[in-house]
Amino acid sequence: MEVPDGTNVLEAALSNDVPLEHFCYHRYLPVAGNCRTCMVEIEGPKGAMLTIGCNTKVAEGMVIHTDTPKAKAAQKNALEMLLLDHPLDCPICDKAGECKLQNQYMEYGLYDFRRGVPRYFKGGKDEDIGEHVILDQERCVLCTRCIRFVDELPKTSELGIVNRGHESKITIFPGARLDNAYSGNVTDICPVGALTLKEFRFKQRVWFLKKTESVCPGCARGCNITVEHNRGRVYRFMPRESAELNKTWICDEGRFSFNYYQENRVEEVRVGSSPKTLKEGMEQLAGILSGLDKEEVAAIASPWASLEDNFILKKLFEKKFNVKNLVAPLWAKKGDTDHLLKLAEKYPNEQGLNLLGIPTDSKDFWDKMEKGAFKAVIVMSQNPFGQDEGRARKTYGKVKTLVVLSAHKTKTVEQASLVFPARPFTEKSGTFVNATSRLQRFRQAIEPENPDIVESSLGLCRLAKVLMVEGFEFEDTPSIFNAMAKEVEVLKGLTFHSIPPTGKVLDLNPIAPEPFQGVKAQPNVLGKAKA
Amino acid sequence: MKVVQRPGMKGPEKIYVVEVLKGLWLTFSHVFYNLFHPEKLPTVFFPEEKKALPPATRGRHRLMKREDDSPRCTACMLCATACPAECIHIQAAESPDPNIEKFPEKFDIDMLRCVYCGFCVEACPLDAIRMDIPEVTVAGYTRDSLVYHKEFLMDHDNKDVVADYNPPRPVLWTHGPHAKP
Repeated sequence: MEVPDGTNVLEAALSNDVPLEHFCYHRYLPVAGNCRTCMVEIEGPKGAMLTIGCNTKVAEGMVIHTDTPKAKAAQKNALEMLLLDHPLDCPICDKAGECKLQNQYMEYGLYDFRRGVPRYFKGGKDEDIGEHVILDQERCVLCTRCIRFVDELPKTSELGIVNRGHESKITIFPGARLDNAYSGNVTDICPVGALTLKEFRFKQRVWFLKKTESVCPGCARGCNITVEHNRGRVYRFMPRESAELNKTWICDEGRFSFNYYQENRVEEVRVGSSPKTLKEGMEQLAGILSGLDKEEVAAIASPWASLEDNFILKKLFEKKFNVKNLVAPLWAKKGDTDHLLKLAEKYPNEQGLNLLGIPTDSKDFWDKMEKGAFKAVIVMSQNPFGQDEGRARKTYGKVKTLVVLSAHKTKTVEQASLVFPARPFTEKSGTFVNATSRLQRFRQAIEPENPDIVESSLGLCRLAKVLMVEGFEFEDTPSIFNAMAKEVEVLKGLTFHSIPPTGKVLDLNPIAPEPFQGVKAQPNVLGKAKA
Repeated sequence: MKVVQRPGMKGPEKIYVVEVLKGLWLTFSHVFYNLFHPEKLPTVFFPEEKKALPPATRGRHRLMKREDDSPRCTACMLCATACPAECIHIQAAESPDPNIEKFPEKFDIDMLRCVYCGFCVEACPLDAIRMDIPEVTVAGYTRDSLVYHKEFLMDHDNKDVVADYNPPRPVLWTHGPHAKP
C-alpha cells in the first residue's frame, strides 16, 4: 500500500477501505488521540506493539495489523470504557441514527454489559450554552472535538474541560457563550448527542431524512451542503465534505437559513389581484408582450438565480427583445466577512452573471425606467429596492406591466401586475458559480405540491413557446445546462451530470480570496491515498 | 397423474326425492327446535350484543400513561419507523418535565392505513403503546374521524376499554433518575 508522505496510519487505512474504529479523530482537526479506539498493532524490533493509528505517521516498510486478536481486544476495550457511563437514552437523543457510538458498538463492540457499580451522573441534561447549541453532559464522551474546533477555526475558544478523572466535563468558560459564527459545526462533529442544535431538537429522527446534495446560496462562497428533508419539508442544512472549499464546515447563517426558503412564499399565479392558472397567466403575458415594441420590454436578471435561469432569460431577450435592456443590479447590503468562509457579498451567482455577460451596472437602466422608456419589465428572483417601498413605488410606477417571477413575497411582488411563483434552490436543480470561480451543481430536494410553481428557467421556456420563439424546447434543467455549455466558451465540454460533486474551477478571475486564510493546512489530510 | 373416480350414486340416492326430503327434514328440525328453544340459539345479535374476545386479542391501539396521567411515550418514533403502513404520525416537543425531556405533542394513528400488524407494540421500548382494546370494528362516517388523536388514544375511560384486559406489565426505565444501577 502506498500513501503520500506524512499520512497517518488511520487515514491510510480509511482511504484504502480498510475499516478501523475511530472516534476523536477528525480529518480536518488536529489529532488529539484521547479516545484510544483506533488501536493497531505495528511490527517493530521488539515484536508487534499496540499504538493508536491517528497519531502514528506511516513510514517506509511499516507492517500494520488492524484485525489481530490483540488489536481487536484493545479497540473493544476502549469502546467499552467510553460507553461505561453513557446514558443510553437513544430513544430521545437527536443523534441516534448518525451517532458514532451507536454505530461502532454495533460494528466493533457487541459485548455484554459488565459495570457492577452504580452509574455516576454528571448531571446537566440540557445546558443552554449558546444561541444555537444545547449541551448534554451525560452523553459527552470527552473526545474534545468541539474544543479543538473552537480553538482552531473560529479561534474563539469558548469551550474547555473542567475537573479531573470521572468528574471531568466539557463546559463553557465563565461568562462566555458559544455564540461564534460557526457554532453549529460543533454539533456535527460531536460523535455523540452531547451537543445538539436547538433548531433541530426533537424535530425529526435522522433516519427519516432524505439527503440531497446542494450548494448554500447564502453568500458568494457557495459552501457544499446537503439539504435534509422529509415529506416535502426541509429540516436542516448540513455541510458536505469538500476538501477544496469548505472542508466539513459551514457558517451558522447558512445553516439556519433553511426556514427562510420555505416561509413567506408566493403560492399562486396572480394577474392583478385575481389568482389564475399558469397557462392563463402565460397567455395573458404573451398577449401583452407581443403587442409591444422590442425596445419597450426590459428585464432584471439575478445573482440569486441559477446559471440556467439567467441563461434562458438572456437567450429570450437575444431572440425576441433587445438584450441591452437586460441588467442584474447588485443591491444587497454587505454582510459580515471573516478569514474562514463568510463573504460580505451575498450573491451566490455573481460570477455566473460575469460568465454570461449580463451587466451588473444598473444606473442607466433605472434612469431609463424612471423616464418611462419601458412598458413591460420582467423581474426574476430580485427585489432591487429591498424594504424601501417609496423608491419601489416611484420606479415601478412608470412601468405599465411589471412581471415578477419570485419564490418569496417581497416589495417588488406587491407592486407587480403579474406574479408567477418561482422555486427556491431547494426545489429545483441548477448551477452556481461561486466567488472563487467554482462551478457547482445543486439538485432538487423537494417537489412543490402546486404544479403551477415551476422553475424560472422552465417557466420562461413556456413563455417563449407561447410567444412562438424557436429554440426553447427544454424539458428539464440539465438539458438547459448542456445547451448552455455548447454556447458558452468557459463551459465547453461539460455536461450537467459530469460536474464533480464538489464542483469544477472555471477559467475566470476570482472575485474573492480562497477560504481559511491564516488557518494552517491540517497535516493529517494529504488527499486520497493510492493502494 | 392419478385419476380419482367420482363415487357415483347408488340405489335410492338415484331417486333425488328421498335425499331432498332428508335435507329438508334437517332444516325444518332446526327451524322448529329454535322456534321453541330461542335461549339455545348460537347466534349473537351483533352489534347490540358483543361476544367476549379471547384474552390478548390484538385490538385497537391505546397509549399508556404514567402515574401522573402524562403519556408514557417519549416520541422516539420507533413505532413510526417500524410501521409498514406509515400510519403513525408523531410530533415531538420539549416536555415541561425536565426529567422526561421529550414528549409527543401530537400522536395520530390513521386507522384507515393501519394493518393491525402490531409492530409498533413490539418496537416500543417503553411499553407506551398497546393494541389491547378489544374493539375490532373500527368504523366512522368521515375519514377524519378515523384518525385517532393522542387524547382519544389515552382515554382509558372510553366505553371500548375493558379494564385490566391484559395484566399490566412493569415498565423498564432506561435513563434519567429512575434508572436502576
